[in-house]
Amino acid sequence: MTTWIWFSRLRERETLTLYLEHAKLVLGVLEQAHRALQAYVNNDKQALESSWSEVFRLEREADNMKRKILAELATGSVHPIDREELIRLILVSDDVASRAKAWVRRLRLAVYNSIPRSVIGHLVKMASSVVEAYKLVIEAASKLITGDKKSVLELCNKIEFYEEEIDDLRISALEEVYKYCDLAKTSMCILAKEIVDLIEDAADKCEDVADVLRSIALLRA
Amino acid sequence: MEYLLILGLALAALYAWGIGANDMANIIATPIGGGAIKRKLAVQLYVTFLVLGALLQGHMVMKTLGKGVVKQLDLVGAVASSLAAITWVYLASLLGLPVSTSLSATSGVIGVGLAYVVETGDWGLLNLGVINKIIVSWVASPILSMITAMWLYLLLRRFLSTSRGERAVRALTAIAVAWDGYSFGTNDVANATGVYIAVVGGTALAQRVLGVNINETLLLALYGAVFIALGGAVMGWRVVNTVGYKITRLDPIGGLTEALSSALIVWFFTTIPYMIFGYGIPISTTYASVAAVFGIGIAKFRSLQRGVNVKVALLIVLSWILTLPVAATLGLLYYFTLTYLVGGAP
Repeated sequence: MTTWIWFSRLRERETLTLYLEHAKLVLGVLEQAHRALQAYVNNDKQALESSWSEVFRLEREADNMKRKILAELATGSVHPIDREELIRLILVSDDVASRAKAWVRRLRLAVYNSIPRSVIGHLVKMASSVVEAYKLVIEAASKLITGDKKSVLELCNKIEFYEEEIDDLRISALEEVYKYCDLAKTSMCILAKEIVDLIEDAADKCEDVADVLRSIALLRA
Repeated sequence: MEYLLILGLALAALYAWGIGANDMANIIATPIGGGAIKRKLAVQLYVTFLVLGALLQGHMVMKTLGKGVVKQLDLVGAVASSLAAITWVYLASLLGLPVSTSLSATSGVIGVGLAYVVETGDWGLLNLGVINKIIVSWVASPILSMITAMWLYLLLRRFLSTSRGERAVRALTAIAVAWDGYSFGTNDVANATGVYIAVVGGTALAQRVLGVNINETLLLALYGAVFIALGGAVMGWRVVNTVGYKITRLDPIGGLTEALSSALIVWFFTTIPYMIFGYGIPISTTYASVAAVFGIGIAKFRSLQRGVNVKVALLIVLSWILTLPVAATLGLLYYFTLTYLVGGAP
């Protein structure tokens, strides 16, 4: 291994370690967003507001961490080989957090008990799968730091399965949403549909993160 | 013993190939990446001046490895030191350590020297004065390279950051690449073939193999340079592209500075010690190059912290501290194994 490539790999590991901190904050956002949905099911307005505060705080922290990592990638005369991929990784991960924040924001607009349990039940399941998928993202990033490419690829495949599962859940959720829309106020119908789409979009972004992790692992071959 | 010589020369070719494949990037990657020189011209200059450097001044460091570190290296010792250097560089690659081929080759020779001492009990066979100077140079060369690059960058940026300066940067970069290639040839060709000068000297090898009468040192220098050039041409491009376009981020003046600083330092350590006490010093051209980039970083960002990655610097120091005992031990072990197998020096 040439000294240059070794140096570059070292910087890559440092950036990935910082990314892990960012990813943990994003996971925190997702968990709080999931809790917010459960609070809605339980009609617990206080818990929903508390989750919203946490989502807001953690998302802001993740944003700060994102800026720190991007600044880190811009310093020095030597940078990681897969610099562009690392930037993409951080930006796509940030998208996951912003989708979660967006669905909690919509949820706060929905009048209590207006979205029926039949719909919300599906949303909770979808959000739970997004959380699980993102836990695998963190595991895959950790494996990438240790250089275990095989495990990274396996974990990325599992993230894809979660995304497919969430796609199926979305169809079931939409069935319920459309039934609800026949009876509900238009605004509530739109909100319910938007929340479904935002959760599904967060799952898509998890898959995008997995794609970036996979490509970094493969580029290292 | 002829088969052992053939094996030794094959190992030297393999080592030279590896040096070319990995180290061509040190010379041409940053100037190409900085956009100051075309790839084709850079390679033409690099190869031409590499061979010239090896032929005109390669003997200075070859003498150090073949007849300097130890008084007279025999064939078994030469092959043992080649094997030690190759094994350590290969092992270090597997471990992901950034080791230097120059340090590995020199450490292998030191190990063989220690084997001579163990065998005879005569410390006089090991030239401790030369070894001390080499070790001091291993520390001094990257530091000097960094300081040179720092000041040179500030100076060049002041005078060449104009629209008219752009053409001057291009012309100077071509000169710098040529000089860097030349310096590389003067210093690194010895890593592969230097240990064989005492062995093939006076054997009329060229007369017997090629039918022409050429000085053996010159022949070995050419032999090493050809394989370094071939290794670079066949396998060095991947490293050049990675270093030039993906790893380093230098502007044209930065690329020029890196090439000039590295060329100056490597040439300095080859030539000046040879003029003063008769032995050119084998230093790491890679560390000189990396240190120059650090120096440019310090000058560019006006910050030691942003210019130098302390962790990297410490790990590089650690890897070369590790190289000396490991490659030397390997050299010692290979020497005794080969002596056992082939029955001692001819």
